[in-house]
Amino acid sequence: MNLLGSLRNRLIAGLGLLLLLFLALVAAGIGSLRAVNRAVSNELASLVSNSALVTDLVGAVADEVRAGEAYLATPSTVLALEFLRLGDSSHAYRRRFRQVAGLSADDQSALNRVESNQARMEVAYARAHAFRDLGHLDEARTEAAAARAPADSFVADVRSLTRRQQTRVSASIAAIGRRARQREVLVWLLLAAAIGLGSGTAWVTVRSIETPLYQLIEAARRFGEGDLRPLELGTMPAELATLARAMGSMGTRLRTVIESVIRESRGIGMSASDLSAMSEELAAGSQEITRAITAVTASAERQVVEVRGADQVIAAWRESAARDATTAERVVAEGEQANALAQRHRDELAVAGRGLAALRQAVQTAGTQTRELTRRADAVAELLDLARQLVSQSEVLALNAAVEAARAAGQGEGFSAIAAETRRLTDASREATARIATRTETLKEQIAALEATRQAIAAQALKVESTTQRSTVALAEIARATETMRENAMQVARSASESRGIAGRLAELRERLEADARENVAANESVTAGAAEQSAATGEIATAAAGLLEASERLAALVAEFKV
Amino acid sequence: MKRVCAGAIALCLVFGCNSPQGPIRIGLAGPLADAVGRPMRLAAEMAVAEINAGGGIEGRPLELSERDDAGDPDSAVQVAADLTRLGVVAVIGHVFSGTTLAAAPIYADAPAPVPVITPSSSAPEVAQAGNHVFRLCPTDLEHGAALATWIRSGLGLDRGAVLYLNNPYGRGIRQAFVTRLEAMGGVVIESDPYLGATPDVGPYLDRIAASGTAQFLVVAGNREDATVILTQARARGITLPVLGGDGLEGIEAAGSLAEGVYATAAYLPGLDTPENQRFVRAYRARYPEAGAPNQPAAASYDAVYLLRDVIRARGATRRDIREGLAVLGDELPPHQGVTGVLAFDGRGGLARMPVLISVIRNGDVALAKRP
Repeated sequence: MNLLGSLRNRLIAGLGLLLLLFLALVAAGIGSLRAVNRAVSNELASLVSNSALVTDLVGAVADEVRAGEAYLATPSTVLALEFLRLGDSSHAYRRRFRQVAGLSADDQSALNRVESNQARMEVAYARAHAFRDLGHLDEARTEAAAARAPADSFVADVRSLTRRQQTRVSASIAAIGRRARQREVLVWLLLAAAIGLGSGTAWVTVRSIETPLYQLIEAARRFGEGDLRPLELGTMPAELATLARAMGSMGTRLRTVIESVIRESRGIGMSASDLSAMSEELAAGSQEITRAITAVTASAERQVVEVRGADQVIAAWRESAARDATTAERVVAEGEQANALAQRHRDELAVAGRGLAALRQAVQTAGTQTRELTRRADAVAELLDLARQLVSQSEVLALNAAVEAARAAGQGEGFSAIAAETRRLTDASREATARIATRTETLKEQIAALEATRQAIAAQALKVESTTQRSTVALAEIARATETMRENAMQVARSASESRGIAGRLAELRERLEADARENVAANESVTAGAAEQSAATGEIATAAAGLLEASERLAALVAEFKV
Repeated sequence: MKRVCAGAIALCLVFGCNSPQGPIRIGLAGPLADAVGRPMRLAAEMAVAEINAGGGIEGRPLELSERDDAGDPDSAVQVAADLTRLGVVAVIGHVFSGTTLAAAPIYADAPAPVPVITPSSSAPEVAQAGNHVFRLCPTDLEHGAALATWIRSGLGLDRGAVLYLNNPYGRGIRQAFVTRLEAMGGVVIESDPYLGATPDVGPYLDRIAASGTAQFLVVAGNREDATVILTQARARGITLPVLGGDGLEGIEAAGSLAEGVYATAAYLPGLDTPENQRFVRAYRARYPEAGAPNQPAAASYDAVYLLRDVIRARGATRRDIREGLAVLGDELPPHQGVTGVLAFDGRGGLARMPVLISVIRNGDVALAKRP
């Protein structure tokens, strides 16, 4: 896999390298500055610390010497302890000095001598103090004097140490300076290398982009001039290679398209000619169709008129049938009414016959009863005679009773009452007998009249009965005749109904014929319009064909400029 | 070719590498010829011989590079520079605090700091000598404090004088002793310095005798100067109890002069631990004429074995050893040695090391007090 095969990676690599160089340069510069700074700081801190330690050490030893000398002058426990304490302090300073970094073996030996001399000095003073305490002043002075030699050596060694430290610090500073100069040179070298590498990187990067870019520009220019022949491009960065492939692909497709256009323009030219010829033929056909359609339309219109005439005939027929049907129905109704009337009269005549028979029977029965009634009226007249006799006897009885009552005077009151009552009864019976006699006479008169009436009725009934029987026979015949008439009328009605149905179906047929005729007319109109449009379109096609022919000629002229 | 050789030498100096397949070189520094340092050398050689007899470390034998500093700080500096150049992976030494403190910067300034295990440098300042310095003994502060406690609590005395060797060791013992004694209600009537192995402390002794108030005499120095002081004291009729720090180890050699002398100790040959008994038996068997091993001898013996364990665990470079020693008792298990259980605190000192009180009775060292 070529990591630098794309523009992006080349740019990233170039810029990354430049950035790394820059960072390295900065890091080197900063590192150098920090290293120098740190070294200088360390050396200065060491110098300060060592100087302080030396100062403290020398100061503590000087104080120790002063305390030792003071004890010799005026011995005291305080001074003895002070001498001891200062000795411990100076030893502590020296130990700290020993821990200073970077001491050489000579420094360590010098420190050993410092310690030794300090120890000798302290022992000398301690012994001097002991002699002083014991009162041996000469020995004390001798010991104290002996302390001066190690003290001098101590000072000399400390100075030597200090000088060595100063020398070491100077050497260190010089070394730092050298390192700083070396780093400066290094930084300059790095800068020069960075500039060189950066320039080289930039040149390589630009070249690696510029060359294939120019090739692509040239290829694009060729395309612009219509030269669509295949591109011959070398190795390129991935992105430009993609672009080159796209341009190549585009050129190939354009070539294919142009070739197709040429072929198609030729085909279009021929097709346009064919189309023009076909449009002319189509126009001629359209005219013929228009004419045929016009004829069909006229025929359809005539058909409509004729159908409308048939429709009028059918309507008349339907009205006649309707009237026949109505008449038949009325005949049927009247027949039925006549039949029903005849039937009813026949029934009434039968009933009247039966009534007349019953009347005759009743008249006969009434004769019998009249006679019985007459007989009974006679019996009543006999009873009236008896009653009249009874009343006469009652009046005799009442008169006798009244005579008896008068004879009996006061003891005859009962006969008097009976006589009274019998008289009132006789009176009442007489009055009743009179009224009955009156009524009986009336009754007899009425019975006689009745009998006369009965006889007249009986005679009339016989005549009526005879008439009724003849009427019944006539009515039966009428009924049969009306039944036959009704059936015939119903047959007429059914025929009229059937005629009306046929007329209705004929009307429906006529409506359909009319609708078809109208549709034919409409279709003919549409066909006519279509034919007109077709004719117009044919004209347009012809125009378009002409335009197409011109366009194909222009297209052929255009693509003729491309190199494929 | 010359450049290749020079580069290899430089690398060896930088990393303290012996040949990866050759012997592992360890420095031994101290007053190897005197009574203090000789047992140390013998014990270290015995330990190296034992380890090499067992196949060395991962097949590599140990090799001791011995350098005598005569107990002198200047010599110690030279010895340190010499051993550093030699490419030792570690140094066992120095014995005295003064020599250790003088040599420590030289070891520290090497491109790869040389780890130093001092068997007996008890000055408190040793803790500030650098993170490459480790010690296998209690500090002077602990010795001085233990001595004051014994005087006050064990002997019931409260007033006395101190004669101290005017070097870091003597001053350290004196300061710690005085501080603890005064804290316990005691009084130091005078503190007098002296120099060298044959000091003249006559004026001090005369003053002490003249005062007549002293109940004890502390000698904060070494066995040789203590012997001289005892001689001078007895010559003046001073019969005060004499006490001292671990520097008086071996004082029984002074015979009757040393009778009744008390001394603090980090180690006694008579300790009844199995490790010590085995060590003492082996030492006496190997060196029948050398007498009993002292504290530097036992601690140096322990130091050799300690280095073996650390090298096995971490590697044989100076850095490996220094880092391994720093985590002894933490990441690495404590070492069960002759002088006790060894584990370091964060400043190179022993996390726990008891201080014993010995006394010379009938010419022998006896345990006066267990901690």
